[in-house]
Amino acid sequence: MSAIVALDLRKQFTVAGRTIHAVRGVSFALAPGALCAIVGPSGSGKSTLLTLLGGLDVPTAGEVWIGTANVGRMSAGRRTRFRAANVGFVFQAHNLVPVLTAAENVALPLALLPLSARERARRVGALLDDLGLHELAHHRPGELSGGQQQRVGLARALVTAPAIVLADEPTAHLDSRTARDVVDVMRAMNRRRATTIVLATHDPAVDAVADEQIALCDGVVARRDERRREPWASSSSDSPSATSSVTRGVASLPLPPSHWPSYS
Amino acid sequence: MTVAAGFLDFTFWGLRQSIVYAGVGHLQVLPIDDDTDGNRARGPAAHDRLGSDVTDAVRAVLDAQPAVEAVAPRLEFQGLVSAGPRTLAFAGIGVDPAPESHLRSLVLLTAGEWFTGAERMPHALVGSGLARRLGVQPRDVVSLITYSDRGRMTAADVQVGGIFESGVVEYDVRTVLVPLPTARDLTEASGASGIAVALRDPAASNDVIRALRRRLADTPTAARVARWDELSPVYASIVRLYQWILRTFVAIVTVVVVLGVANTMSMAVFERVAEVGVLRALGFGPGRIVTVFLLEAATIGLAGSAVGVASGIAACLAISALGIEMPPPPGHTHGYVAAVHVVPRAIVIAAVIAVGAAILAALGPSLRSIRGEVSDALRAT
Repeated sequence: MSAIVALDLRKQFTVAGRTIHAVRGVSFALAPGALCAIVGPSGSGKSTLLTLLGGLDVPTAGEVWIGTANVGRMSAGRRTRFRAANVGFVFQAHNLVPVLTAAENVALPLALLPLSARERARRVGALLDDLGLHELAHHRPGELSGGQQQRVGLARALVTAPAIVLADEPTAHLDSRTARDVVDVMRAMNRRRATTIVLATHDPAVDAVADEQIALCDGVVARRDERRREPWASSSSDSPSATSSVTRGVASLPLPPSHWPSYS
Repeated sequence: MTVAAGFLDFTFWGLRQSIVYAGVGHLQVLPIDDDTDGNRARGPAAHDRLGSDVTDAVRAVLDAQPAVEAVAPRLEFQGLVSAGPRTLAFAGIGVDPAPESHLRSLVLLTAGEWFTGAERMPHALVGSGLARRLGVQPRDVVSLITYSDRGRMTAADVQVGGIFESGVVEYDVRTVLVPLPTARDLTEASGASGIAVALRDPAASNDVIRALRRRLADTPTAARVARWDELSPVYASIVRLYQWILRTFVAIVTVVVVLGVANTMSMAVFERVAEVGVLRALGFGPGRIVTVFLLEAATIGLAGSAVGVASGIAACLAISALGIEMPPPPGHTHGYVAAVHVVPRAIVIAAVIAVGAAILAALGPSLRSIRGEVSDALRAT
């Protein structure tokens, strides 16, 4: 069974009386545990495609399946609950809540889960430790660098152990070293936990670690490059750096759900 | 609002005091022409006098009531008062000087003195307006002429002992107070036309009234017991008018608060569209997001009401310490110094309105924040 399936996906907007076809008949399927890079020039429809895959918007036509759930057909309320349980998001601009500390930002999605305060604190603490953010737990986003903020954003996406993580230009605002750290964490998570990751990127370094590449141009798939790696097979060339502090702790993260959700 | 309500509370309190201690008392026992069943009243003199059976019964009941402060029987009559060439109509009241001085503690003596009990000839206290029209001063002698209850013309010369101002112009241009024995001589009546009662604790008035009614049910002469607000229906009208004004004021303030907080919340929501988008992307439902904004508004309302209440109480105390010089009310001759009461009920209502208005104001902006798709909100980044 595929983790994500897009079937003739279309999305159009009307702006100032003009219809814009952001996504025009995109179809693909991703296996569980895939790490897929969606590339393409600005305006090619990458971000729109991610919003459709994550149930943040509904397609004008076509279908999005995550596991056995047809996300595009869900009501807004069911999509909201589905996202809370199954999808993690990493945003280009980090999008942390400025009045909350790093730890509180990471803990936000856990507020929706039936967990004890102790379990929440344990998960947040473990994740911040793993991502090298322990010392910064009580800092607010304004007191953190761009890389630190993105790591907090990554921790927030991971803390519920989602089956799918969608990342929109996660390294766009980072220097190359920090970007590499972030990519290493995502790669490690993908390897270790079989989390399916879809990221939209312009960054060749990010693209290079992906199992698959979908190139968009003007809202259509211009090219699909399946590099045919076993999603979570280890290889010396793309495994995270053994000395990277931000990847060592990924093994301690809770595992994703063993079964895909069966929403319809 | 705390200050406005406090000022009104003082005004109502002042009005009550001016009614009670300008002579009305907390309650009065009065004769009635008809009893509650519409039958003729009992007793031969029931048309405008309380018989001695009633006055004795009232005395017996009130003597046993610890809440009673003063009992003042009165005998009213009308007639003509002459001073030299001037003769005017007057309304006379025979009073028992000691308790009456307590019941009229707010009446101002502008000249002379209250009854001492040591006068060689009968004294009278004349209202300032009447004294002015008669051209009399203390120690002048005036003649009172009236018809007694037996239908005979009677007269008495009395010395003006003092001139008073009740504050009510119409009262002061026609009233003469004389000692009760003088009034009885003039009217040839043994009873009273009413008994005014002052209480140490006004809250006990209902208990005292019940006790009086039980006792008066057995007397041969019919009598009724009335509380001060029944005797001064203008009080209830004034209270209704001012309460309506206060409610209108509160409604206007509430609208202003709602608009102000709505503007603040609209700005807050507008600035956090992307933040709301992130929360929605993470799986926070519309209900939770709206609740967050409403809680924020409630917090703003609570903080605002705490500051407002503290400022209001401080203003009440400061204004009361300084006093507000008020002009004479309509129909009155004297102004007064107003204060502002701290009214706990008004404070609670103000706080509830502040919080409620803030929540109400936040409802629209918070509902707007969850409209549309999450992706639209995220694009606002």
